[in-house]
Amino acid sequence: MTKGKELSQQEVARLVRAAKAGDRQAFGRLVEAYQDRIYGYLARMLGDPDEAEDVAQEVFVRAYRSLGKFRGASSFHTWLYRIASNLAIDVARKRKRQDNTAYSLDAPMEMGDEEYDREIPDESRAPDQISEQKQVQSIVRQAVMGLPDKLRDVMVLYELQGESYEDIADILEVPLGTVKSRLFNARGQLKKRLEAMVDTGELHVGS
Amino acid sequence: MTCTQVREQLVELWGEVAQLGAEARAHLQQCADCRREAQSLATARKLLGQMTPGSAPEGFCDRVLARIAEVEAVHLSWPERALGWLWPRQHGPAWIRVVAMAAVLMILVGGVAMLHGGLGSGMNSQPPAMIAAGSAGITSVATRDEDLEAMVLRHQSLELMQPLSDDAGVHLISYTY
Repeated sequence: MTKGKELSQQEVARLVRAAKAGDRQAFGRLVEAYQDRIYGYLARMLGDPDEAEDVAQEVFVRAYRSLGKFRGASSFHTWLYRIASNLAIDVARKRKRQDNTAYSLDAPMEMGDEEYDREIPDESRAPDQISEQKQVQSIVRQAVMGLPDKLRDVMVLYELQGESYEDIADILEVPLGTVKSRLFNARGQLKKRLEAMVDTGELHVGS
Repeated sequence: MTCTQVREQLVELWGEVAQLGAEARAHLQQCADCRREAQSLATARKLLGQMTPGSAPEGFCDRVLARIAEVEAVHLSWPERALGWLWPRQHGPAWIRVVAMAAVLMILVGGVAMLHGGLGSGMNSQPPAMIAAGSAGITSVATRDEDLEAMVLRHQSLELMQPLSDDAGVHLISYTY
């Protein structure tokens, strides 16, 4: 299949109708049209490209199976984002629950009959092959990932995905004022995190 | 204007000093702390803007469609697996679809029975009728063993479904290309 271009509202409506009637090819065209947006959003929310792909696939599978419930009250892409946002938050919560299990970093790992010492890569000293640009992006990504889930959600949707306040309110099912308030807080917290990284020398910013 | 008020505006404007009102700009000229705050915000905005957009990996769409096909196969009941092509899944509640499929099947059975001289002429002694059905619909009806063999050779795989009834002697075969 060729990569989808931006679809008009009429085309989206036609493809959704066809997909509802069981036309998987039509649904495939919708996937192509929105896959970058949904994948990009999840990659930024979850920080892991493999996990983002897995969750993005799940978004479209759930969307296909729930097409009967899509009535067109919101746009198709905000509906997709809503599914993606809910899944991303679930994954983030599950991660936190798993991270809360305490274990010693000094204790050896067991793999089958063997034991191995844990090695934690030192990401502050990236290999020379990684360009400075990529290092900066990696650090900024860490700062974004460090935001609370609800603030990160709004920041990613507005600043990185380019969605409007109104669409974000629709996606997250919160009032417009809440979107603006969360974005305000997200910007403030991100600024503080990046300032701290500059102060510790993790991040070098040119003048 | 107070520092708090100016900094609130700076956050809303993401450090874009040019968009501040005259009063706020005048405050900035006199307040080094607020100027640093504006600079930090502008830097944060610039760094965020450097994050490259993500693109879905190659083959993503095909993997999604394959996953949908797997999920649908698991969730279909056996009548829907056999005859789901007769009625799109998303139309109406499941029981209507099952009744509709059963009605179509009965018509088919009746038609096949008529080909063999009717229901009263000892169908048990007749060879079973085979109906091949797949994603393209019903494509062949075989009433003799040699026809069945030809049907098997024509299609890549055949899955023998449950007989509709021993008396009717009709077997429904599902095939896939």
